[in-house]
Amino acid sequence: MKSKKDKEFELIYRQYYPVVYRQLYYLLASNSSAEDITQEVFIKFYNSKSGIEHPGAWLSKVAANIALNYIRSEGSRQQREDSIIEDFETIMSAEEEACKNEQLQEVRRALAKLPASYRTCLLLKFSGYSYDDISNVTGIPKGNVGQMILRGKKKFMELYGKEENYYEVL
Amino acid sequence: MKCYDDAALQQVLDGSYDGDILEIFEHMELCPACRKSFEQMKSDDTFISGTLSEGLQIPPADFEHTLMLSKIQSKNDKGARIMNSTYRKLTAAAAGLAIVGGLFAFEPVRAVAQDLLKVFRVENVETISISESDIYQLERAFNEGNGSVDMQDFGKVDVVSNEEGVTSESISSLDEISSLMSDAKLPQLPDSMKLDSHVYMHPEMDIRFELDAAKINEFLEYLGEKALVPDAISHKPFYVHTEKGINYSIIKDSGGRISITQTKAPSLDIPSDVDEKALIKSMLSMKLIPQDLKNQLSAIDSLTTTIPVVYNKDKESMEKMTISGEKAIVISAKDGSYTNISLQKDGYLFFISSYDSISKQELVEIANTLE
Repeated sequence: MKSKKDKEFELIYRQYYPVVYRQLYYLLASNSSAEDITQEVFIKFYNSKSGIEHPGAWLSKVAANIALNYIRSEGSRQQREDSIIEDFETIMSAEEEACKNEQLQEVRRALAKLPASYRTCLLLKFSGYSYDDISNVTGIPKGNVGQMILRGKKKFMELYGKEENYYEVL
Repeated sequence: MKCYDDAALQQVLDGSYDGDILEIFEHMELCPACRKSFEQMKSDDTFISGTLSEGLQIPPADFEHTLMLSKIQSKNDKGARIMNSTYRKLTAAAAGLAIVGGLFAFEPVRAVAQDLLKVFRVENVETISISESDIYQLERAFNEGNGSVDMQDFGKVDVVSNEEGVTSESISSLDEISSLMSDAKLPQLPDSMKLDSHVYMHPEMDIRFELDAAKINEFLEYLGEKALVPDAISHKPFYVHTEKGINYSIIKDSGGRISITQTKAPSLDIPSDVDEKALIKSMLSMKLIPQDLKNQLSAIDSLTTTIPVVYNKDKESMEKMTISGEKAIVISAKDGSYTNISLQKDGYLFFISSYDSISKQELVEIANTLE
């Protein structure tokens, strides 16, 4: 028989496993790293001492932080602190070198140029987090999340399109 | 007629609209402008999602395994990273085989000395390829059973360890690894690579299986199998015993990572009244096991001393090579994202994997320097 804690964990796990995986893949562009870190995130969740009020928001924050530490341990040059939002440029520049796939690099360059709040909303939305989760992570009121996503998409389409044209000229 | 703002349409698209969705769809029926905006948003979503997910391959969720690792970890507050995914898959494969073997051990043999356990070692490395459809066939058989048959009802799986689980140590040189495991075989690193700062130690561990014969038989009968599990095996535990292992990583300056795991082969303890050869033979005669997989199982000589290295032939290619003077199995992802080498040397199993920008050739060269 599974304990109540294990059953609750299973529900969260089944709901968020593909979501956390996608988020990590978008950040790291590597399936093997995404797989290992997804596991690590859920192990941390299970072993978290304090009660977690918003599981989705918690998982996305921890995933982003572990991804950041992973990039740093991979030999990233800059040591910065705090949240993923400020440090996204670090991730992007460190990963760019390791990233072989030209298209993935393009996507990431375009993402790196987005304002941080747009970028976070976009990445979380396409990972599969709910507006509630996104609102809890970013502090943006739930009613404004749709607007942020919309603007982020528009900006991304512009930037990504430009990058492509640039390469065609080359 | 009031048009909707784009943010509301995006909310509809994301399933987060708080108002009446039907009203919006009715409106769009009549309003080409809103319909056009909505369609444009949808196609942008599809496009962005596609570009972000280029190369994305989400492996199937393995809840039970994550739960098991979480429980191991809860005994160990240091927060060490669990062994890399390759090692994890291999142990899962070994445990999986043990489960299947246990499930289908239905030839009653030598019904004496029930409490004694028979131990056989798993020493060679061989490969079994497993295709998506094999996995699907197995999963479907288990999943669809008759609805009330749940894997969990078949019995219990427990992990027992006398030590505190996976632990980690900070290291700055390869010599320090030797002090943690005296038999450690170490690679020679080229100037472009350096040792990562942590080594992880995996303890000896017993994975204990205890099965419910009545439940299993119910399931087998449902599947139309004639041979059934003897009641004798019911609630009689058997074990997969994993030995101590170490795992450390090497980082390439220009990007990429190599992970090296060294461990002794796991051994299986099965009840002494079960003949392991008969057990495997009966397993091979099960309709449940896909023919493709059965052929490969039966082609391995001395199956009982072989650890199966499972690979997915749809996504990976396999090559047999000689590395560091030993027979080795090299499995590469077809998209080039990783390579895994499995080899056995001086009584130890080595799993050497590369991720990202390290070529198969580079990895083989490093593996060849293990000494």
